[in-house]
Order: sequence, then C-alpha cells, then structure tokens
Amino acid sequence: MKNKAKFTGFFFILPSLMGVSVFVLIPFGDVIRRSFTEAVSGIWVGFANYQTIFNNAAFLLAGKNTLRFVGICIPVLIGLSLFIAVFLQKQLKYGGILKTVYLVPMAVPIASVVLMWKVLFDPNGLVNGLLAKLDLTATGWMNSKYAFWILVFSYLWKNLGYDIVLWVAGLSAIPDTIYEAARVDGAGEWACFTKITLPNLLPSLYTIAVLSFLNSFKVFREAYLVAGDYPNDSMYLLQHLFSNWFRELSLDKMAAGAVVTSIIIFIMILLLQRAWDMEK
Amino acid sequence: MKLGGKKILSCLLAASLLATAVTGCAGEDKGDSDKKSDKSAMGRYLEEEYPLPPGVMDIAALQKLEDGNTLRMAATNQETKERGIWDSLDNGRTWEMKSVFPENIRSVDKVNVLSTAISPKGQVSAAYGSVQEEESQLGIEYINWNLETGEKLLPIKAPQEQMLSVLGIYAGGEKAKNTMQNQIMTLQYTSNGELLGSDSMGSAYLIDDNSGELLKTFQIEGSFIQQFQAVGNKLIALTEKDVQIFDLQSGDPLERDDILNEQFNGKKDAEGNSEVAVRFGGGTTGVLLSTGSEENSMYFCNDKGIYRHLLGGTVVEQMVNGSLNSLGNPSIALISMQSLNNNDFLVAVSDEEGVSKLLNYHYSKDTPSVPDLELKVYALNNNQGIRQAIALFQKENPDIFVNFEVGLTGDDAVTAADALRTLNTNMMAGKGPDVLILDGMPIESYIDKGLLSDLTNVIDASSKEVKFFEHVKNSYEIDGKIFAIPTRFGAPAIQGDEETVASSTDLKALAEQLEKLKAANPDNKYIINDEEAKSILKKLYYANSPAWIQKNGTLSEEALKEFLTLAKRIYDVNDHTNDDNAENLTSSFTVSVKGGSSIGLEGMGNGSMQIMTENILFNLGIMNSPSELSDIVSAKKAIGNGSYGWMPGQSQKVFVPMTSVGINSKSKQTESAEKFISGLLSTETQKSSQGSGFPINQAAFQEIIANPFEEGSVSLGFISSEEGDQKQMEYIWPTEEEFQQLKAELDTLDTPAVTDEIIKDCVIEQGTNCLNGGQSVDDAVKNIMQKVNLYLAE
Repeated sequence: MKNKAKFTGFFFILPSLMGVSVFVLIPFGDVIRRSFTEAVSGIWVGFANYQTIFNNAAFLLAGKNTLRFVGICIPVLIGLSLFIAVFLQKQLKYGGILKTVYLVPMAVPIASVVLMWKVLFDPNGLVNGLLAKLDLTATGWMNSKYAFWILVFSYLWKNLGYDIVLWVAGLSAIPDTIYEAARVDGAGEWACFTKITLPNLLPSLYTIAVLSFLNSFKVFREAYLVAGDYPNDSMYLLQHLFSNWFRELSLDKMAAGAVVTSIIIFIMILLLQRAWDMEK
Repeated sequence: MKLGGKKILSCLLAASLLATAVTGCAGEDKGDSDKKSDKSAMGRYLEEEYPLPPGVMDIAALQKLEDGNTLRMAATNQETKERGIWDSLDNGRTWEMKSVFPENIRSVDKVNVLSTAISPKGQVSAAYGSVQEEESQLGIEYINWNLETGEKLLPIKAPQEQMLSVLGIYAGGEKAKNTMQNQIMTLQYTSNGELLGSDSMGSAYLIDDNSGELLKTFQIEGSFIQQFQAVGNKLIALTEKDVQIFDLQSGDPLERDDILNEQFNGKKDAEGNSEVAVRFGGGTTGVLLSTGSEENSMYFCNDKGIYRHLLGGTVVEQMVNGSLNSLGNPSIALISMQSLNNNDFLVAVSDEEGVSKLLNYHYSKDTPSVPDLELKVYALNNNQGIRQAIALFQKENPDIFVNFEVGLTGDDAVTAADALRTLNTNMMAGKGPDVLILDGMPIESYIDKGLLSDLTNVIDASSKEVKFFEHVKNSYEIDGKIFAIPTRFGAPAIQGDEETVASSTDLKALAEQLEKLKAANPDNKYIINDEEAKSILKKLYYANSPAWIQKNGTLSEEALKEFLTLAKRIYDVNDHTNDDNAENLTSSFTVSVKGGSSIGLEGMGNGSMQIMTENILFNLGIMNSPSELSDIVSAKKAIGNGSYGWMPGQSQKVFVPMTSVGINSKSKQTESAEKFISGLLSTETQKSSQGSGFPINQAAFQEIIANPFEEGSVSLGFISSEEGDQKQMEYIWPTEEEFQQLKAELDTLDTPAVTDEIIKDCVIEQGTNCLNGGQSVDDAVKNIMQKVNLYLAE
C-alpha cells in the first residue's frame, strides 16, 4: 500500500516528464555528449572543447557581460519593483490605473521596441538631436559603453510591470489584521515593512528572482535586432556568441559553452533555493 | 469495481497518449515512403535536340500544317544571309527547304523582319521595316504569300487616334505631335487560318489577310496585351497584369479563367506586375502558348516546363518538367512551340548567343517520372550560372535529378545568418545538400570542421584534360588537399591615361595620382567612376583586404587605418557638393551594346563608357569578362591615350574567387556530386557566359574570347545621358594578342582576396560612414577592430 502511494506521484508527473525528456533532457544529454566530441566528425576529444572555450576571448567576454548584466539587472529590478508595488498597494484611488500603466511595456511588440531604440539612439536620432540643441556633443550610443546601460534600461522598463504584479499578488496575500495588530502595538511604517511585509514576501522572492533571471535572457532579442551579430563589446552576451557559433557550425564549442552555462545557472538557482530554505 | 473502471480508463488514456506520440513521430517516415513510391512512378518526357538544316541559326516561326503531317518553319540561313521556308514530314527530325522569302524581304542585311507567322494552310505573313532616321520613325509594311501563288502587300493600318491620346497622357495632358505612329508589330494565325496582330499600344486585332482591314479589336482598358494565342474560337491574351480571354468571333471578353491567372499571375513584383510581365520585361525567357489537340485545350511552356490546361477547367497539368531539361536553363529564350500528332512537343528556342535550337520532347513510358537519384545543390543566393550548369548537367545525366535550393529567395525576411543556421541544422541532421555553392558561407570554418570533402582527385582528373588558372584553383588548398574551388574569378583593375596607371604602384600612389589628376582638371566634377562611398569601398576592398589579416589571424589596425585614410582621399577626388545628383553616374547612362557588355556596378564596363564619353578620367572596378577588356580597348581608341592594369593596393596581384564550390562531407551522393563538380569545371559549362567572372578553365577562356562580331566590322553603341543627349561609340573587340596578354597577366594573380562576408560587410559599413563624414577614420577603425576581432576570436 505504501509502495503504491509512493508511485502515485510518479504516474502523475509521467506525461509531463515524458515531454520534458523528449524535448529537454534527452537533447541536453546529446549536448553533453557533443561537448566531448568534434563538431562534424564526432571524434572523441575529451575536455579539449572546454579548454578551447576557457581560452576563447569571445566566450570570456560574453560570459563576463552576461554575469554583469544579470548581476546589475536582477537586484535593481527586484528592489525597484518591490518599492513601486508597496507604493501602489497604498494608492487606493489610482493604484489600478498605475498598475496597468506599468504593464503597458509588456504589451509593446519587440519590433516596436527596436524601432524606438533606433529612433532614439541612432547617431542622427532624437537623443543626439536633443543634445545638439543643448550644445552638447553627440555620441554614437550603440557603438559606445552606453550600449550596455541602454540594454539594462530596456530590460528594466520591459519587466518592471510584470514583477510589480507578482509583488502585488504577494502583498495582497498578507492579512491586514497583522498590520493592524502591529500598529496597535506602536509599530511605524518602516517597522511594518521590515518586520511584516518583507518576511511575508519571501516565498514570492524566490519565484520572482527565478522568473526575472530567466526573462533576462530574452533581452537578447532587442540587442540582436538593434545591433546584429556583433554589437558593442559591452553588450555582447552569451546568446550572441551561441548564435554566431551556430552560424559557423562550431557545435563543439557551443555544446561545451552550453554545458558550462547550464551548470552555472543550475548552481545559481540552487543557491537561491538554499537561501530561501534557510530564511524559512 | 469502480476503482477498476478508473484504472482501465487511465490505462486507455495513457495508451492513447503514447499512440499519439508514436504515430506523430511516424508521420514523417510515412511521408518518406510515399516519396519513394512517387519516385518509382514511371513515364517522363525526354528531351532530344533535333538538328537544324545547315546554316540555319535563327528560327522565326514554326507551324504544324492542317494536313497533319507537315511542319513548316520560317528561318534564316546565316551562310547565305537569306530567309527561307523549310518543311519537315517527320515531325522536325529532318527539313527540306521549300522556298525563300519574297525578294524584298529575303536578305538579312537589307531588311529587318519584325514578325513572321505561318498559317495552318501554309500561308506566310510577315511584318518588316527599317529605321528611317530622318523621321525617327519605324516604317512597317506587311506582306503575305503562299508557296504557290506568290506574294502581295497588305495595307494594314493600326488606329492612330488611340496612339495619340495615350501619348498625350504621357506628355502631361497635351497631345503630342510628330510622335511615332501606332503600328501592328506582331502577327499570328489562328488554327482556322485567320490573321491576328497586335499593335504597339497593346491591343490585338483580327485582320482580313486579303484587304488588311481590321475586323475585330481586342482591347483591355488600362492593360497592355503582351502576348496572345488563339485557342479554338477563343483568344488568350497575356497582359502585364493578368490573363484575359476573348471570343474571337464577337471580340467580347469572356469569363476569367482563374486557374490560368493563378498560374501566370500568382507571383507579383513590388509594382503589382505579374510574373509574366516581369519575365517579359527581363527579356530572357517568356511564355509560349499553343493550341491543344482537344477542344478548348491549350499548352503553355515556360522555364518550369510544359503544361496542359482546359480553358474553364480547374487544373493545370505539368506535361514536361522544366527542371529536368533545357527549359530550366535561364539563358535560353523561347521562340515557338507546337504539339505534334505523335504527342511530342517541339519547342524552338534560342541560346544565349542567339542561336536557335529545336528541342523535341518525347514521352518515354519506361523512364522514371522523376530520376531515382537526387542531387541537392545549395546556394545562399540565386546564381544564373549555376542554373545554366544544372541544365547542361541534367541534359547529360537524365538519371540524376538536380534539386537547386536557394537560401535567400527574397520572398521572406530570412537573413544570410538565418539561412546559414538552417543549412547547418540540416547538414548536421544528415539532410543537407550534396553540393555547396560556398559564396557568402564561412568557407574556412567549414574546411576546419571537416565539412567539405577533399576535391583533389576530381580536380586532378579534370586537370588532365584542361589547364586551369593555377593560383585560382589552389585558393582553398591546405596541405596539398583542395576542399573548395572557385569556378570563376575576377580581378580588381584600374583604367585611365598611361601615366596615371603606370605611376599608381600602390594604394598611396593611386590616391596621389588621382589627386594630381584632380588638380590638373579642376573643372571635372567627377574624376573616378564612383560617387558613392559604398561603391568605392566595395571596389577597393578586394585589392587591399589580404594585407589586413596578420599571421595570428587578427586584423592589423595600422593597415586598416591606412586603407580608410587613403580611401577617403580617393573618394574626395570627386566633387560631392551636389549629392542630390549622386546617382548621376551610375543610373543616368543607359548602354546598349551588342555582345552584352558587363556593366555591373563593381565591373569595369560602366566606367569605360564614361571614360569614352569623357565624363570621368579614371576607372576602378573588378574585371570579370572579356567584354570588359573590349570596353577598355574601345575607350582607349576613343580617347587616344589609355591603359589598364591591376588595381594597386596594400596587396598586389589580387584575384577575387567567385562561385566557389565544395562537396558536403556528409553527402551520400558523393559520386554524383563529384560528377557535378567536374561538369562545372568542364569547358562546355565554363565557356557559357554567366557574367559572373572569368572561367578558371583556360580552354574555356580561349573560347569566350572569340570575336562575337563579324570579322572586320565594329559594333556601334549609344550612350544616352539624362538630358537626352546621345553619343555614338565605336565598340571594338580586342585582338588575339591583347587577349593573350590579359590571359598571361591573369595567370600571374596569386593572392586571393578576403571573401569573408562578415569582415567585408563590417569594413564597408563603417567605412561608408567614415567616407561620408559620419565618423572619423580613428572611430571607424576602432569600431571595425572591435567587431571583427570579436568575430575572429570566436
């Protein structure tokens, strides 16, 4: 009877597991295999591909940029969205409208975002036009170090609304009675936030952090459509590199790079989960 | 029991899920087996070329006579320079001359016959004329005759009021005066022997062939009838927009045939014109229409093959697949088609040199409908030369079906990088092409990864029969193995006065010489033939790019900086103050020269013409055909002092590999692929003028330098400027010595240009911005270094 119960759960996830196996696990197994072989001939080369990518300037640059992007964007996005969510939660009159306003960027198609980027940041674009009127020097934005910060801004602008909605959902789940009881005990706004809101939002934090992390990979679409295969050094991400390797048929390097990236992502998610478990 | 029912239901659901998954996966296999069964279907039309009577090189009309046995042909005998009529009683296999044309239109040298038509009764009609220069009008007269009773003139008069009114519209509302007359330009007979004609305004007419009176008019408001064919009692008219059907007796338009329109009209260009119009406009191949054997049935023939359609019916049936024979050859033009009593088709075509051929298509029930062997050839961009080569290969190897796939069709938003990723996916999945046309592909990367087979044996075998330009042949040689081979090549060259050419020893000297030329000729707006920065950079790129790549594989910043600095100085010798007219040099001059001079923007032809007309003083370009040498020697003769040489750059003696080919190492059709590559290198394929570079095969080079003009004569070309001025130029063919000198010099070129598209695109993009003043040389170099080094580091 106990054994039966043990396998019931397995049967429930079986259909989904089959799909994940066919479309993710088995192909990823093949990627791991390919990371130890030559691209076309399939000859076993051991760790040579890993050696190659760790000596590859493009991989190191892309890895560094991607980590830098994630390291800056995720904390800023989570903090900013939480701040705005708490603010909106208190805005009884205009809260709904403001929430919708923050969600609008999500509804803007990528093509329009890219067009907007080009209109704004082209050497002859609006930003340079404005600078010229103010007698300031124009810059080739997408070919300068500013390109990275434009990418960061684009990511924050696009994902802020989504994270706000997730935070608001978390905030709504905190019963008002806890706040009322704390206030009766003399707690101020800051104390309520740190002692009630934050601890109660921790379960949401994990989900929001993972979703924001995964969404950060999607920013490649804008970067690729605006600057193509070879953007400015500062915004050259791992996705650029993988896309170019695929074009050049460097499947060996791509497989090794994918395995390394997966391991790093896996470790980061585990660390997040560990932090979350410890807080609980 | 209840629990048991649930279990059964769960099992059933799980089973159905599995079944769906399994059958879903199996779908493709089923498709494959279907394909195999299709492949084993038997029966196909095979092509056979029938010999023409000796001397006949130019077929004007072909008609099956009503007796059912006789085929009649009107053609020109180039040996006697006379037009005549030939009959065949064996469906075109052999011909017997029946008569010559009437005296006044017999000689090819004296009179120009615009259109010839033969009726099923055997009567012949012709429209002929000559340019009357003093009036700038084309006077056209008409004549008809039969072999027994002699000829008579036909006084056909096309309506003039209509011509004037239409011209009036073009002239901005005012009726134009002294304009050319509207005339009947083409003639044709119906199956009943009634004469049809169409005029220069796009209307068709039923004409009394006794009096010349116009009996019926077939007209479509706002459309131009480009081609017509009577099918039974109906007239099929192809316009630039659609297909219109008329009742021959009443002249009334009939119900639209949607299927026919879909066939001709499905693909439209940016201006909404149909594929038919596009092809007519292009002047290469068109469409032939022919009456079918059954009532209301018709055949049409284009580059896709021969089709049968029943007017008003819902299907079009492909009878002959054009991709399996000469019909798919882009260099042939269609002249006439007849369906014969033995169910064969006889098609008269002319090849790229204007020589007519008679192609017979005979149904063979024992031949597989599609050859069992399929050879996949892939190119990123459409390549007419490869299409020509495929048609030749297909003719020689009817048991192999060559499937030519183009990555960038222009019909969608696919970029070159997208197409390459798709190609790579297919190749890694074992479904890739057998032969790769490597232009635009990462050739070095493919060689490094072992994706290209060693071609040494194939090339060695070919080398035993013919001699190749060695350096070009070895462009992609690594450790004695050749993995890819350019089938054609070009050479960056310069042309100008002798002193400037001789003194231009490197890029710096070239810039200095051009500046000197500018100082000596301050009134000349243009010194060189390019006013656009992009165009100049494209031409300079090849002769300089090899110098930028360092031994460690990275770009040399210093060399790149020198290149852009000097390129800017060269760009600045032209006056760019009035950039609104920036397209003047490239677009306002139209050139019409017999012999098909190559005037592509990167070629030498256009610049040579401009030197001849003294619009510019110096010409830069990529020389890639003998006719360009012809342009150069013609210009030299015109201005009295001229010379040419290889483009001096940071590198010397550079050639540009073109149409490079390789075999996919994962191909299962290696033998056929090698046969195809051998074919590409053969003299017969290499000699066809593809307009995409000199042949690598020296025997083919020797053949293509043959004078296309008659011995001792010169050809006249006209250059017309935007202002309407016409300048006449004498176009001469170089001497054998001049060609041999060119050949010897081509043989010395030993440095392949860097053809990597990523480096080229990046340098040209950033360089263009720099030359146009959008950024400094330092910034451009910095941007190029950053992007290209990133690319090279990958």
